[in-house]
Amino acid sequence: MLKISLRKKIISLFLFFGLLPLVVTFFLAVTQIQKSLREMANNHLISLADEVMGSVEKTIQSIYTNTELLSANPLIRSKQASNEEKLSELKKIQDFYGIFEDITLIDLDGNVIISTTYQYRGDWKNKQWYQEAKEGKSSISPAYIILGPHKVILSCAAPVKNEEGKIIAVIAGQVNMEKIWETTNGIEVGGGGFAFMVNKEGRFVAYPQKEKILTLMSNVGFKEGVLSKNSGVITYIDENKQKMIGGVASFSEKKLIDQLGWRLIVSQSESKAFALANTFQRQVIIIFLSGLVLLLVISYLLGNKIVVPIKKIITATRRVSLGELEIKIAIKTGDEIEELAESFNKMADDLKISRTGLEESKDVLEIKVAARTRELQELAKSLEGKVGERTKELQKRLNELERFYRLTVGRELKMIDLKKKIKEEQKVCKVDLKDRNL
Amino acid sequence: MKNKIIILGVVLILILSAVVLYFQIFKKSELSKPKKELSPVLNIYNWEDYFGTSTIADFEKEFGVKVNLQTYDSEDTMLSAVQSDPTKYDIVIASDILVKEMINMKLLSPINIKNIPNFKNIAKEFKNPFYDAGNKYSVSYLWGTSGLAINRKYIKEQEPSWAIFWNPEYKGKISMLNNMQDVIAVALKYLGYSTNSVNPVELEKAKELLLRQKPLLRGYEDSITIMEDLVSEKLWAGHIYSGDGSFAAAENENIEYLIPKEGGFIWVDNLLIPIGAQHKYTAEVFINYILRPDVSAKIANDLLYANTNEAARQFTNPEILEDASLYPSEEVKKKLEFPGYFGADPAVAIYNQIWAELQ
Repeated sequence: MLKISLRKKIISLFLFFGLLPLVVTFFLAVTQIQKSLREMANNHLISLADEVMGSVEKTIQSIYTNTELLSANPLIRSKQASNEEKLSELKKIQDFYGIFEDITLIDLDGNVIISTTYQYRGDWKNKQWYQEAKEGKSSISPAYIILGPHKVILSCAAPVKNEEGKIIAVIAGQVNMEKIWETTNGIEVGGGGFAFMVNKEGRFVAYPQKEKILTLMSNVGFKEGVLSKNSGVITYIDENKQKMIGGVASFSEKKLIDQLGWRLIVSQSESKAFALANTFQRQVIIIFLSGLVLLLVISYLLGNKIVVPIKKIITATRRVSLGELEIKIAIKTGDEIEELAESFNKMADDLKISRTGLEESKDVLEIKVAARTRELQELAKSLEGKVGERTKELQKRLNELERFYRLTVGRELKMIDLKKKIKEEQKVCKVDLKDRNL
Repeated sequence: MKNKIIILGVVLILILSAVVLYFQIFKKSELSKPKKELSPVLNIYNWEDYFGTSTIADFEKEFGVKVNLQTYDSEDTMLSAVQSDPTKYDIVIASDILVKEMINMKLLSPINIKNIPNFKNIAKEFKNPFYDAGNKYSVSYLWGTSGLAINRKYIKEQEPSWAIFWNPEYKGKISMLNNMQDVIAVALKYLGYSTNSVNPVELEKAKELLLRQKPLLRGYEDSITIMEDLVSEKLWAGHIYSGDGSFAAAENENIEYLIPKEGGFIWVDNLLIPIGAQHKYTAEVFINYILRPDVSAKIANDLLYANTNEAARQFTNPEILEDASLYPSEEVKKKLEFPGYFGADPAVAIYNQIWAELQ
């Protein structure tokens, strides 16, 4: 059977009952409270993302509204107005709104009629937003780059209708994405957090580092994760192998979801986002470990308090068993162990008294035995004398008997010899007789 | 005995852990790698009639991939389409400077050259081009010049010159390409300037020249339409790409493709993968297929364009290789210029304005 020392048993027992509530508290703190703190951090990121996306959506809607207002301008719709007059009007409007980098009026064949800056690239007739406007529906382009000069822009196109409501041209206003980035870069997330946006293809349309604009997200898993949700939180590993968490938001208007499909992510490193939760977790761990150490120390000390006196008692018991009855145990624990020690001391005292009594009894007994022995020896001596005398008497009688015996035996032997001589004589006589008879 | 069992158990656990860890890492690394599997479809956007007659069918048969081929008649059309939806096509074709523009517009996906072993077949002079250092985004395809095709029956001038396009006798029988840079370059060259001038004064003069030309033109049209109408003699002279000009000459003996004495554009077309391409690996397999010497030579033989594929020369018709209008001499090449990259130059707006006024 496995032998476990009392100290170990006490420590184990103490640890078990001490640790159990500690562990339960630890897990409750880590799981429940930390979960709440994490949810709080997540909700903070989501609400920030919603807020920024709301501002972006407002900007886009104002681009739509302004382009539609442009298309409804009477001078632009007029048949009578010359291209010079229209261009002058467009330039005035561009200055007035301050949002358009360029305004271009395009005919239904895709040829440019007039443009305030002529800063565009590619043919118009194959641009999707032009085609949709030509069909009578205001449309916005994906974010794209033009090179002269290098700009990331959005183009919003709206149909221009004459007085009869017939579409006669398309007007397209270019908006620099800087207008959108003012919103996304202006957000204060704290702790190194930032906001960025991706489009339907997973390309960045807003990012603090401009060189990343319109590049494809390299993290395939993150890309799929972002594009699969319109709101909520998402975790990912960034290029610096840092664990990140982001609150995701998208447009609320279906038209914008369909045309642009942008997702805005307010992102922060997990360590910063969950700083409060992590601090709490650290504190809980410190408390847990301190409690554990304290528990170990207490259980050790307690074990000592119980085991050391018991060991003293054991040692004393062993010494008593070896006959050292003078031993005294000095234990002042004020509990049952002290009582046990006192009982032991008393027991030892009692044993000592008993042993002294026994020793005295033994001495008396020895004296008595010696006296009796002497008596017996004397008795033996007297008996030996008597036995000697008797023996002598018996020897004498024996000797007499022996002599008598010898006499008897001699007579007997003589008788036998005589009988033999008689028989031999008889035989001789018989032979003589025979011989004579012959 | 008991110890042995424990050691065996520990070893087994370690082995199992190692196996699980390996598969976890393997799975992760597999996820991060692009899949090397052929897709069932491949979406290609190319110039009209710019593959060999059986190129697509042969590829479909060999690789079991259905090719959806759509065509355009102007590079600007292609650019607008890719800008509108970069996920729509897996392969597009663009010339040198447009490649550079598309790179700067972040519309292209880097090509994994490891998936294109036939890249070695490209002639050295077409590797590492000025518009795409290190061929990160492009693989050269065919090359040519923008010149003029004339019908000798109607065009009297013996000397090949852009002046033919300003002869009022040919009013309504001339067509220019529907490409802004090509058209303005003709006027600039005719005036004796660089095809890539950004000088506003020179550009203004070019505009005036082109505006004078406009009433003489049937229109600004795509190269294939011009070729077909030259062959049918609806047109007498046309601004055309070398391959289409040579094709017209092959179809109608009166037609001749010429590089004007003033010079013109030389260009290299390239195979590209748009940034949002859905079937990138299959696109690379297709590009590798196109660069196979036999396939490449068949394309060049069918289209009559000069080939960038050195290894394809052995399968190319000798008369094509010897055709000076397709493979101009070094002396003629000196008069030719690659289209210029204007980048952020304000001249872009002037070019756009001239083009808008010409429409």
